[in-house]
Amino acid sequence: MKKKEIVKKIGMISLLCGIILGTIGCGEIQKETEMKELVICTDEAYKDTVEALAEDWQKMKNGLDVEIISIPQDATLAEAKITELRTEIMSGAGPDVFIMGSNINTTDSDTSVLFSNPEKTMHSNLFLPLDDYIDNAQYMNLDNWNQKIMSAGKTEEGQMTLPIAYTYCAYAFYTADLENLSSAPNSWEELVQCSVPIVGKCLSNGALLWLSQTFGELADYENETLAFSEGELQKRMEEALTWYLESEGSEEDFNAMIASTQVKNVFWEQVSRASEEAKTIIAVPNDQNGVTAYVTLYAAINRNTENPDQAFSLLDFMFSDEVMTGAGFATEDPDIKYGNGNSFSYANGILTNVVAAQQSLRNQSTQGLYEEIESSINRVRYYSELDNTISKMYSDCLMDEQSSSSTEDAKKEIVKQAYNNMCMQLAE
Amino acid sequence: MKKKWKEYRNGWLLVVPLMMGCLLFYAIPFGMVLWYSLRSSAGRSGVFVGLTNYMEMMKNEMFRLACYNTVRFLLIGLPLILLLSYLIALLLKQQAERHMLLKSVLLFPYIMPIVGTVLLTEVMFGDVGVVNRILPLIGISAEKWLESTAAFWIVIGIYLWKNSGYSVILLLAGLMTIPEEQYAAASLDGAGGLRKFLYITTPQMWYSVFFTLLFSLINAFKCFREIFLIGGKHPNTEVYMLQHFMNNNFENLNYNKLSVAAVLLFLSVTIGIGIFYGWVRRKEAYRA
Repeated sequence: MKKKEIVKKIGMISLLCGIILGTIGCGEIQKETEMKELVICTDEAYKDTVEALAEDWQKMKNGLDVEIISIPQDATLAEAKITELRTEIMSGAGPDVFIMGSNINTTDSDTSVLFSNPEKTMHSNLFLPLDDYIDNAQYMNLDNWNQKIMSAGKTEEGQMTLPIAYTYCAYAFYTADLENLSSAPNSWEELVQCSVPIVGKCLSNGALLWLSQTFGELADYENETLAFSEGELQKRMEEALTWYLESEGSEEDFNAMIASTQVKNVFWEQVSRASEEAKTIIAVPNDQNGVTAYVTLYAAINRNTENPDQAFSLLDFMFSDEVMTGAGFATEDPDIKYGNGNSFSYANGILTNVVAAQQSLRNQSTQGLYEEIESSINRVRYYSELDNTISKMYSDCLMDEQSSSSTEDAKKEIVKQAYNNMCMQLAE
Repeated sequence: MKKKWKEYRNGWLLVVPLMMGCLLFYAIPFGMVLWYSLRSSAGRSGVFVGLTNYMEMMKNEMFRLACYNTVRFLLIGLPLILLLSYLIALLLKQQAERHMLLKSVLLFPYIMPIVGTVLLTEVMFGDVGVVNRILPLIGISAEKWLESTAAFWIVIGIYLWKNSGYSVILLLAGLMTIPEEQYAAASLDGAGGLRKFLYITTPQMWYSVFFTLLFSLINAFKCFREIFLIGGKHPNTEVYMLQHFMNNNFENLNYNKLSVAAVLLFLSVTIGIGIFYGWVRRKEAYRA
């Protein structure tokens, strides 16, 4: 009996020691692995590009081993992955580098993204300020980057994110189809009062996608308040709805569009391929006599990274002119170029690197149109839940308007709830 | 001393794995949460900021709203569920032997999957739900019940419906331990129902009431799941609870606010339960 008791006790103590040692050991191994690896988190859509570029960086700069964590496109898998990543980040760990896409998704506002409001996240001590690193960058030439777009990644602490690509909503027409339109509308008021039927028909139909872009500012993230009142939101919704319902024109007007909605390389390619006739591009204006651009792809470094120099070295390589234009860095072997052919040129927007962006513009007329729109950009931000809320609000109001029991009070209630929702999002 | 250690040794050895688990998965992580709540951010980049996060949290409008709604929900829901469960338990005690199935039936709402509860709520109170179909027939206009101030009372209703059965079982178990002879003796002495309840039942039920309150509190916090599925991340302001605030800050990776809210919630619940437990202990000691 005594022997049995002794054996039991030894067994229990050994089990306890094993658990404790195992836990400590796992922690140590993980720490060692983390030191030797650079972890990059990106969307599945960009995984191949990031992987290829990271490999070239490793070879060229003799960098750390790289582990790519991609967020799946499938909503259920993405949710699980994002929760795992959030838990790691909250515990002070997480990936070293983030290369994340940002898109409005009006049909599914419950789509999970790692940073649902990148601008708010920039104020949350999550990203590493990059100014010192950029000043000492070996390859990145910030003079070749669109400074207006770059300002979207700045806070009072410095450059927190690097906007890689951006977009805005625009519609391209042949000037002849625009019957006496003297100039493209420069403000929201001019747009809704535009008397050209084709403009009203084509643009008002897309308000669901870009209504939030008509606001110059959405939020003041420092003070956690909205930049407009409930009354202003109500008025904007009513104007957009009235404009859509009362716009003249026919279904055939849609065929007159050369290219439409979110501007990216495809947009400019379509404009370039169209005939040589004069073209007019109408970018959706905001209420501050300009155009609001949205960042669609950005990079950032985790403030808690143990390898900040290596992390920035990777970004420095990826966002050099050589890599962004696809030309690549020459090596001793003329057939091999690091970063050649792998870039973010098919990102969901226009590249912030001006040299790379110019490559998609085929001819002088397109160049002229591009520069005209670019000069009118006066606001840049990131897609967030606020944009989704405004889109959903407009969609609900449109559905209410089209239903048999539509009332003004119902629409006012929808706007009120959307406004309260946005206030809550900011105040949290 | 050696004899005492020998006596307790096996017990301690059996309990140690559980304690290690609690330490590793609860105590140590909570200690880390407490530490992070005193820093500017988690991880190596954070700096010690003392109580700054707590002071900022007190000024946060959404945190104050969440606290107000949570406290209101508890102050209304807990007494109601205790009262309702106690009444049902007292009735059941008299009928328990004749209606054995009742005890099991009462637990059905508790074991119902959350999705089922949410679907039922939508069927009853949704825009085209049963309530909105009946009300126009009696001249009252339909309302968006789940998006209005009535949402709070609907949530209270869900909480009572879903969790009363469980509380009844706990209280009934306590009632069944009171010897019948005491009631018989009291009847002989001419005591009525109320006096029996006040002087025989109540003094012997404090521990059961305490545990029922504890589990009702846990179930009250679990109600967040139904509210979340009905109202989403940002429901009507009437049902915006502390868990919404914490969940949304987790999604926004705002660790400071999350950890401060967790610590304050822990302190409030511990102090509240501690005070009530101390009071119950004194009652029991007085009775002994």
